[in-house]
Amino acid sequence: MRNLMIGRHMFMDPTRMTIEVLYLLTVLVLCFLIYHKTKNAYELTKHKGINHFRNAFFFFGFAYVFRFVFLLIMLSGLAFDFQLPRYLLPEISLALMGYLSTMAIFSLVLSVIWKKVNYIYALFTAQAIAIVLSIIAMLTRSQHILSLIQLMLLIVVIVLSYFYHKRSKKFTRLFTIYILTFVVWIISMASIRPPRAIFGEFRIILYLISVTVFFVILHKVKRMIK
Amino acid sequence: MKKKRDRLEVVYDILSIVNNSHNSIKPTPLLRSSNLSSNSFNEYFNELIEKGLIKVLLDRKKKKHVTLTDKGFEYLEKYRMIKGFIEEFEL
Repeated sequence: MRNLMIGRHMFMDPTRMTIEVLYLLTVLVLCFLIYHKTKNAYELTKHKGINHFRNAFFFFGFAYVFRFVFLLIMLSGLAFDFQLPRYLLPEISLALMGYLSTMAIFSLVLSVIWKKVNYIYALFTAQAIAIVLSIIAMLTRSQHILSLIQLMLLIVVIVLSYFYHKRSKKFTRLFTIYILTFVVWIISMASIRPPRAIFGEFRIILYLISVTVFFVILHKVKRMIK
Repeated sequence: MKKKRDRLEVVYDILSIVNNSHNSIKPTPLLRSSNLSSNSFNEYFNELIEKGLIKVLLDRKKKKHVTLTDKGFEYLEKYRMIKGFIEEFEL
């Protein structure tokens, strides 16, 4: 009972909701701007790398939307007087979050390695893994399992990408930005609800890192495509 | 040995040839100037038409002339920028 009271007290904090809404809006705007800014370059060239790069931010944007939807469902009843329907809604938002975020990770990786792998096979594998992951997330109703699998996936992706690509200084910088994007996503997804929810300053720092990473990518895009 | 041109570069070269020929060139001289095999050239040629970067017009004698579309001019104008973007993000 006491725990419930503490939980209720923390979730009722309007600051938390304001931060969540601001965070979502900022990430959405940044993802949209990256997607929009590269539209012309893609339409002119139909370059596969540009296509995957853009798709990554399209998927990320929507993954963050469904993360927010899932958060709202978890908080409804606790933080608000109304309760969002629990039947299927959490499962669907988790499944979509799983699919979209996995596709975002793969799209960003594919944008860099598409010339070096069997393209069709890689695309098919990415889709298959994303669908399997979303089904697992739906069946288990746990974003923690989803985070754990994505973390393992990320380790595999890091190793593969590193060996597929030449180790230039520029690529290492880019690689760091991408890995940071994935890691921040995984932590922010894992931390949506108790018992592993993170609070206070750490959450804000995490969100700031996330926004900064997206901002850095947008800045690089804007610098190149005027 | 000269580095093999990538697709973007080949497209840029073809469009530049058309542009440098007062935006009107017959397909055969274009093939010769592009330094491509006829199979590759046909592949690129059809792709460029499909993407709306060039179009083929017929003159009074029903001879084919290749010209750039607005999109083709835009490609030429933005090529360096897009190339820089691709290199920056290692795409």
